[in-house]
Amino acid sequence: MLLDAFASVWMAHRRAWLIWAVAVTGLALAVIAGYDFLLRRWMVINLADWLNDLQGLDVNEPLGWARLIGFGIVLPWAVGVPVVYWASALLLNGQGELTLLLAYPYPRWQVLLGRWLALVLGLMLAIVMGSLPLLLWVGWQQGGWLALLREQMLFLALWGLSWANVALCLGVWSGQARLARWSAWLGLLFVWVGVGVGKLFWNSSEQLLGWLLAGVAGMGLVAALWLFERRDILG
Amino acid sequence: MRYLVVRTENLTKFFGHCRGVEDLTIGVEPGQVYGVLGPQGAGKSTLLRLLMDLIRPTRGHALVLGMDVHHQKAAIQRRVGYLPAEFGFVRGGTVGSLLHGLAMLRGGQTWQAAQGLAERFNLDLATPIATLGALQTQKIGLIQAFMHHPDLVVLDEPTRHLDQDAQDVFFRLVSEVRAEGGAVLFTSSVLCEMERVCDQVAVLHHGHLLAVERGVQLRARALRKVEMRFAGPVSADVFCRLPNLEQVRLEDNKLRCLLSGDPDPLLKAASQFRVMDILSQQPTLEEVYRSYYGVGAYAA
Repeated sequence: MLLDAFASVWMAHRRAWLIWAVAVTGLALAVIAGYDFLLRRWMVINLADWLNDLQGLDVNEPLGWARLIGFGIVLPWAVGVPVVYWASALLLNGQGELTLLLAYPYPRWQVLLGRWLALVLGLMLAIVMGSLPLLLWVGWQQGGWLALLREQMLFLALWGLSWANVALCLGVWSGQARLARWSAWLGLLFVWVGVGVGKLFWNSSEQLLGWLLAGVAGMGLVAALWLFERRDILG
Repeated sequence: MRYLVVRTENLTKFFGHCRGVEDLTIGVEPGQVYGVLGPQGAGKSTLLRLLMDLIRPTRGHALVLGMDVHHQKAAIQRRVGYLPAEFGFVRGGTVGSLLHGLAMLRGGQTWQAAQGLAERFNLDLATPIATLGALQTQKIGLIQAFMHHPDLVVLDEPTRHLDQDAQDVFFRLVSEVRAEGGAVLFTSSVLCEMERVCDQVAVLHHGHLLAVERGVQLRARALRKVEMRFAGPVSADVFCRLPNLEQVRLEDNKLRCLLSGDPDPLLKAASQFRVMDILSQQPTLEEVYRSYYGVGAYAA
């Protein structure tokens, strides 16, 4: 059942998720291309001062640039907004198939987990494809790509997962994809602006935030499973 | 307590303030074909979803195959085939790959049975899912409900979208399940389907049980709308005297009435005159409800 639920969602969304991954890659390439054009513009420097203390990194260097613009601004939104969109409707769209599958002798959690795993695969594809150009570019220009991989990519994965699970949970709870979607998007905006890009970096002093995101992701999934077990499936 | 395949007691479901079903007590015996009749919004699908544990009751409880629908769900679902009213498939592939996937979920010899059923329904297994129409989708739904030889088949509007050939196959399948000792519970808003196969029929009205009819009673009083055109004027008294005619109206040499059961007395009475035309129709559900139960099917 787990695989069946996984396959049906993956087959239904695979094109959209591939387009998403390609779009995120394109945005990452645009960030790289923007390095030469925008680097010394006052707006970018001010943005860096406002949002990010950069923790000793220089925005004039590729590593600082990739952290601030790539992993701090562009990718959290390029990953967060679409994943919320799909997660909010993961158990609401295609209810016709849900009704059919839930009449088979398998527990509900397998259906939810199968669908969720398909979404996670799509999310990871977008994160890997979006991060790869930045990692390669930083490694080629300056070195230090391993730190980016360890800190930024992991953070981005936790960021995406936590918002996916929050939206999933809201969707199951409210039964309304639109309400869940907009609530999660507002939350995303609030957290992103409120915390500030600099605080979102996951280094040795900011590990707490990473654990917090991991906690939200875990609790969101558990809550979604709990709610789905009790939810009426109306078809 | 006598064993019943389906037993509900005061089963009630409210969606907020909106009533789905209320205080529904029914029992389906082994080897019985049980119909649930009602217009849209009567609570037919709600009842079936409660039995399949897709929704949870506000109060009351239900037993299927002697087991609690919520606490022994998996054991019930292994022995029950279910066709929802609304269903779909989001995956790609062909009808064959879909049915194979569903058969694997059931396990056992289900795939061979599914192939046999597809042949009986004249369903091409190579058809891509993306091109399926409502008729073929409904056939798939029926195949997956019957393919594992369930002890109970629960079907929500099974004949919807089916053509005459597919309906004949469906009713044969129902008879086979009954002959093997299995039970079938299905909903419909078409009375003649109930008359055709059901041993017992629960009539729902706005979530309440209006009546439980025996199939033989329904067949005996099969209601028909009859319209007869005569060559010349006829006497209304001849027809008003007939015991199984209701709502007799005579206008411009045309007789309109509701006939229940045997048409022979009407035909004999009409033979006194020169009959130009006869039209016999199934009554609407509204007419059936008004005629039998004195309430409008859709009236609150």
